[in-house]
Amino acid sequence: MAAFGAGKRDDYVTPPSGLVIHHDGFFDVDRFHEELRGWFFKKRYDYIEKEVQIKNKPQGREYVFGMNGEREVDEFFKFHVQFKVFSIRTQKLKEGGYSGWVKLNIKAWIELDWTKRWQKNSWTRFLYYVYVNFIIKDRIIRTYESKLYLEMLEAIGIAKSCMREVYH
Amino acid sequence: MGYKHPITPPLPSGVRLRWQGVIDFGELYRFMKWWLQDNGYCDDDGFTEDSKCMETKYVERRFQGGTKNIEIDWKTYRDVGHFRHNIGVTILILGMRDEETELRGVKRKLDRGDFDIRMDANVETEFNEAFEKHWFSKFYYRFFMKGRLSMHKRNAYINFYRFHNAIKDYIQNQRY
Repeated sequence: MAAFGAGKRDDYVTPPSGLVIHHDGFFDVDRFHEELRGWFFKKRYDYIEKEVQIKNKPQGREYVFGMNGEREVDEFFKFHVQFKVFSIRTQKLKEGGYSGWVKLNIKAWIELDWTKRWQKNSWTRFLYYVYVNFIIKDRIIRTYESKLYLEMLEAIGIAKSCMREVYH
Repeated sequence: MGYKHPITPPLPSGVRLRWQGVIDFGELYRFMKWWLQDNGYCDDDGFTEDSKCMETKYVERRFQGGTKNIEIDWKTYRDVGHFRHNIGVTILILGMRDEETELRGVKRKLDRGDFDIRMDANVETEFNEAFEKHWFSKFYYRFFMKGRLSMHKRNAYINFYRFHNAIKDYIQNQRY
């Protein structure tokens, strides 16, 4: 966990640029989309499908998905999980599913003080700094970060289950 | 202004990667941007941490006969503590024209030309104004930060050559 200054409210459990998974082979786009959306609902995230792009090219389809989920834990904490999927050279296989080159970018972070109650003036910002960095720091690391991290791993597991090598 | 500690020869010579032939330049451009994005050098929209666009130059000159020359400059960085890892990229393409080629059994419109990519990397210290203003910051740099400089130079070097090798691999193995 990074030390929080007065203005910083995002606590990343992944690197800020996200975790990256590359895969060249079988990738079931439809199942991935369906299962991940179901996972967001099951975990009570507010699900937003930020963008969907599908381009038809001679070498195969190109998919871009942006899937965001956010969950209010309480009045102070909010969990965010973001998936970005880029897939190129995607071709449908006869036995079902698709093959192509896929890049997944996964970010997960905790938004602190999402209601912005502690950001109104310099005194409350100072209190926020003390509260986050000294009073509840341990709780953030042990409880919230680990919880979000495990949830994110579960979502990554779903994504990986939709990938395998292509058998000819 | 901060001090730059070079790890490669600085631009305009830099580290050179030249490819004469056919390539899908649009895909290469996107691949390079993705790499920088995934490694924290820019955000989704190609902006650096202080909200500056990393693309400082994009010039496209079109000529008769459908050929064109393209010049692109990227300057980007990522801050690691009190150190800034800079990467600069210059792309110069001469005589680029569309060409229909068969790749993996599929007819595609690719770009033929002379692709010249030059890159450089350095580690910048004392890039904040605070370092120039306050005596304590200078003291801190001289006695504490300097010891960590070699480690940062090593990390920046590894990262730079990962980027370089990724581009080389992408072009040679036609991953587009």
